Amino acid sequence: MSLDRRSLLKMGLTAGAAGALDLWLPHDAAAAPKVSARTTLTPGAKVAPKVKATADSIILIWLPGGVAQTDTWDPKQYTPYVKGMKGSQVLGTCPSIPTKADGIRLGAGLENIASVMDKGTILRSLTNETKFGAIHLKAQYYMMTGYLFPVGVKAPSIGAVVGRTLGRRDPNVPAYIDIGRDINTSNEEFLFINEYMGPGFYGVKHAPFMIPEPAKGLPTLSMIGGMDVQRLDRRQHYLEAISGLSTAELREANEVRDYMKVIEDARAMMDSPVKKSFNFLKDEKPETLQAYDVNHRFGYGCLLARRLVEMGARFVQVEYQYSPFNGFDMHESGQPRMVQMKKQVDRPIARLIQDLDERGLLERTLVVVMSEFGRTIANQPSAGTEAFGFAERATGENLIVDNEKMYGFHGHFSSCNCMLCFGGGFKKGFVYGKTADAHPMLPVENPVRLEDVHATIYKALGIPATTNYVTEGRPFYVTNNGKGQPIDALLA
Amino acid sequence: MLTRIPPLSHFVCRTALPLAGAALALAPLIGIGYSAPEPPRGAASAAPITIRPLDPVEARSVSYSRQIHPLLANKCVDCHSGKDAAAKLDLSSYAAMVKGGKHGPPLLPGKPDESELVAYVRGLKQPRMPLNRDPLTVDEVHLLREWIAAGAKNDATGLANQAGDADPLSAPPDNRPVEDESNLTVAQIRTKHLARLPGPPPVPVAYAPVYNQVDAFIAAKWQAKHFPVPPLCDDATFVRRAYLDVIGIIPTPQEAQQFIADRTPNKRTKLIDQLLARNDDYVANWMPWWEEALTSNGKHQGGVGTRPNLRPWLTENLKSNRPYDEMVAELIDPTAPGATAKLAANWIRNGDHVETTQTAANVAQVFEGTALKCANCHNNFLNAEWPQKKFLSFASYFAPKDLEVIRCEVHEGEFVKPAFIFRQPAARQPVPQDLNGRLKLVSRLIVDPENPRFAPCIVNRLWKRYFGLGLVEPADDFRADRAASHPELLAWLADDFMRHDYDLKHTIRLILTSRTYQLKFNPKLADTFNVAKPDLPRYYRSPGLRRLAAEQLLDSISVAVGEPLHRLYLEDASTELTRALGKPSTRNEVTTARPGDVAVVQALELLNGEEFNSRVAAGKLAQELAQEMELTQVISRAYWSVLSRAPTPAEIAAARRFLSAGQDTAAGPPNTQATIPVASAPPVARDAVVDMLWSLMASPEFQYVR
Repeated sequence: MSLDRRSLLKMGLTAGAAGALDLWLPHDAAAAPKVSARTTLTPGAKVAPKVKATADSIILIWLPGGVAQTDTWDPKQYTPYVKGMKGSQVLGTCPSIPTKADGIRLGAGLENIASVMDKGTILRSLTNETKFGAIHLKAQYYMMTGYLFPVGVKAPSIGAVVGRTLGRRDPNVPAYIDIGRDINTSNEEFLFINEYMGPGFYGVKHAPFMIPEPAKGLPTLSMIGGMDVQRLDRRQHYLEAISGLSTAELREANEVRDYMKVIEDARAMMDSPVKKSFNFLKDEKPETLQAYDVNHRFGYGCLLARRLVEMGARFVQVEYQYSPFNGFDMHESGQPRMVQMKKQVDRPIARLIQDLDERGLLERTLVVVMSEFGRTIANQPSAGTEAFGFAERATGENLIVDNEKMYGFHGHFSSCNCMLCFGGGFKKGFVYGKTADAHPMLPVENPVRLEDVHATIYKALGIPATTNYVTEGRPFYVTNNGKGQPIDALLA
Repeated sequence: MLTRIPPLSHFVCRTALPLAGAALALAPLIGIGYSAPEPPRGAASAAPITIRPLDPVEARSVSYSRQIHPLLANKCVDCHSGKDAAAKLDLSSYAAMVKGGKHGPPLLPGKPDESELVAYVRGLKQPRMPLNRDPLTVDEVHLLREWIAAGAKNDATGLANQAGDADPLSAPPDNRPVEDESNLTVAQIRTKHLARLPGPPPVPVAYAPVYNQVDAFIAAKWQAKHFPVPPLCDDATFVRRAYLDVIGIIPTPQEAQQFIADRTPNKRTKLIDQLLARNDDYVANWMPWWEEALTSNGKHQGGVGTRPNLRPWLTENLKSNRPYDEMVAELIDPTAPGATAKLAANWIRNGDHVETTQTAANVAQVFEGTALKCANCHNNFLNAEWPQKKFLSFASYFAPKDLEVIRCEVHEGEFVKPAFIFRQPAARQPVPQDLNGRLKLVSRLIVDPENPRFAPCIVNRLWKRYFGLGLVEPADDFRADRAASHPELLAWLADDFMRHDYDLKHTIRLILTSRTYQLKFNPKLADTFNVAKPDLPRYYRSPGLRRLAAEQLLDSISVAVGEPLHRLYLEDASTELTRALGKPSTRNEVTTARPGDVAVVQALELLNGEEFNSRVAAGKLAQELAQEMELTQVISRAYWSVLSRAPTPAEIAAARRFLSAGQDTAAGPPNTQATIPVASAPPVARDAVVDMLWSLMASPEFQYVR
């Protein structure tokens, strides 16, 4: 169908839109990154060496809310609930389990991820100088952009950096896709999240393609109700016809050419096989669907991420959508809620790793699992009642856990956070960093700063940490101020 | 809420402390497990830097302003500037450098290798410079040597010298008595200081047609290039351009037809006046720009908003066309007595170091077009005008006490006294010790007619809005070492604006009634701005093609389809469509321009988005056209409603083919001779009408203003 349409176009209906057929030229030569701003300031300086990529794609699994690392990626001694126990005595609310990687243990309830732990790295010592206190959103902003809010400019998120710097891997598959977050603006927080989980000053050209419901796919890749292909073609022809009939000045303007090109581009994406990724309910075996189905869209989100990467996606973010006091944001009954949450993420993440591996994709696909901060023992089970700094330094010595609601890790812990990295050139069956076994469970070995973690992820993708794009006449770096230093110990 | 965050830099920060500093900063937190920091790099110097043979021809191309000055600013002026310059050697300006320091002049023109500057940076003389930092690269040393070999000339323009040396920290003493103006109103200060200004530059004589002074300046530059005088746009283009530019919506068919039919000779000026008088619409069109520039966000920020909601304040002031200097002073000065002062409260934020410096940087950016964000944490590498201390001395006006120097996150224990960024006479007034007093004083200095950038900044923004490119680009980055495309015009406009009591509408009217504004769009003549070549000339022989803002586009669709106009800017909700069209969902960071990018997400929203498609189909237009008996009427009305003009015969033919139901006839070359019979019943199905409207509204002619 669309071939017909294009050949008709070629017949000369729209002379002015002829350029619209050159679909896959880079849209913007200026999109090429400038490496190392310092070198651009003085002529003749050397350009930073190119980083060799070990990954072509990245799936970022985003578990906001603050995952309690002691119940998951960095288990400590299991200390069951005893009425009246001291906070300092609460070290772990679940036993630990062995994993397929020698010497690495995870919290119970993560048996599936344990079975693929030989394929990835756990980073246990990510730490921030900034303590975000009660404000999840600022911590999330920092994690996603590498900059503290407010920055002074709109900082782009990791997905926009990767999408802009590396571009599309397949011409018909968007470079930056976000799965599992509502396009929701009823809530002030969602509006803010939309600002930092996006392109920032890079602009709409580098904005994510949003897929709130995995099974529904990208809504705008499909026609609206009442539309059929013939009708869509007809009106698009007509658009091209009237554009071709407009004045020569308008037809020859670069802006207009780009505009018409992008419409063609969008249409080509609609007609491309990328949409097949969304048909997983039909295509996949019941066994596979079952493995991903956790009664929450996050599960199928992981499956869709795999299918999109198979199709040629560059960056896919799968979110367990943030909502205050829901998901991983728990301020009371931390123990039973962690059990629930682990159930929701364990199977899909593990299956995703396994699937990618079986398909030979894990070697060149980086899967990162992260949250905005870790958790510690808090003085109170509810938010907003803790003193300044929340619970960063709390040892729990003065806290009496006198009911089960208080048993769990309720305190926000910017001082320590864990991250998982599978494939894409990261080490396999490896742990980096160590934390104290008693509260406060601060990193005691190989503490790591966020900009260095970003630099490591970018290095795996072949993006130098000093890559920058100019805004307001100055360079803005992809890692905080361009200072990120890749942690080579994490890379194979 | 527990929002206090220790001050940290957010900005480009690549100077002194990479790893070692980071380790130190983490050390108290971690306690154990971290190895001792390395000694500062470059402390023990290695072998002298090698040199390359000089090429006398190449050497002549080395520029002080473009290459040497930034290099010195980047590497040397941290220590070698101001009163306490190391070795009494000040490298921050050409004049000071030539004067030399303790060891005499640092360079001997023509003799690079006998110049001390070279000897020190090469490490031939100890200590090797820059002290305790990475040495210069071979290329950088080569550049310095070439420049000295070619005579070490200063190629900075007069403008650059004038402002580049305007360092308040080292300003020569002004012996005139200081006048206390704390009891004068903004208007009184305006009158008094205006009287001291030298007056505008002379308006050149031009041979091209000139509607007002603006055109004379523009035409003078054409004349110098022997450019032919470019033609005016036609009335249909003008009416649409003027409506969108002044009130943010397209004209109704009646409004457009009436204007085109009007035979009055001055009808374009009349139209501008009529539109400027439509106050609510004028305000609606400005609001998104101002709200984003001032980060007006108020309640909808989920506990992380940076500034209050300024919409009511902006509405009141723009509607009454309040003098711009009074508006800005009211925003900054908490003691301002104006009727709308309450609505501007709390815009200035200075609870901590970060808030204070961001406030100061925002004020400088928005009202003085001066980019200071870099200098927040370190000397601005890109613009020697702004050492960090100079910025902090400005920011100290916004703080309850003098600010500490925190260089790239390291507290230096040094406090900076307030000093204004420009050397105007009023800046010598003593600085009050209380915060309100400081803010009041700085508000006066910002809006001072003798402030060299306040008025030029806003008139440049107005110019940019109506032509697509400013006389100064980027509009947020006025700098001493870069001239405006038309410096005299900028100066004249600024002077005229001030002498008309900072009347925004006056200057807008002046621009919109100029002949320059009424020119025909021509992509071959339209100017472009390239960051890499900022000095390429601009001529304004054609306006730029400008994408409609999300608000303009969707509001114009409402006008076209005959829906009641509910202005989009009033809507706090953010949709996929509005975001794809560039309307931000929040306004936490200062932005003075939306990117005009086209993107696939956007195109998909137009093709398949529920919202765009339902907006097109809404209203009475589609319905009425589907009941229309005459096919030509359908086509004509659709064109007038959407594109504000009559269709051409070729367009009528193409539309006829498209609307003739059941046939896939949109393809094929247009044939104006085609005779397609007119149907006798209502000829067009509603779907076809909607599709036609969709195509017109998705067409570049609708999406752009030309």
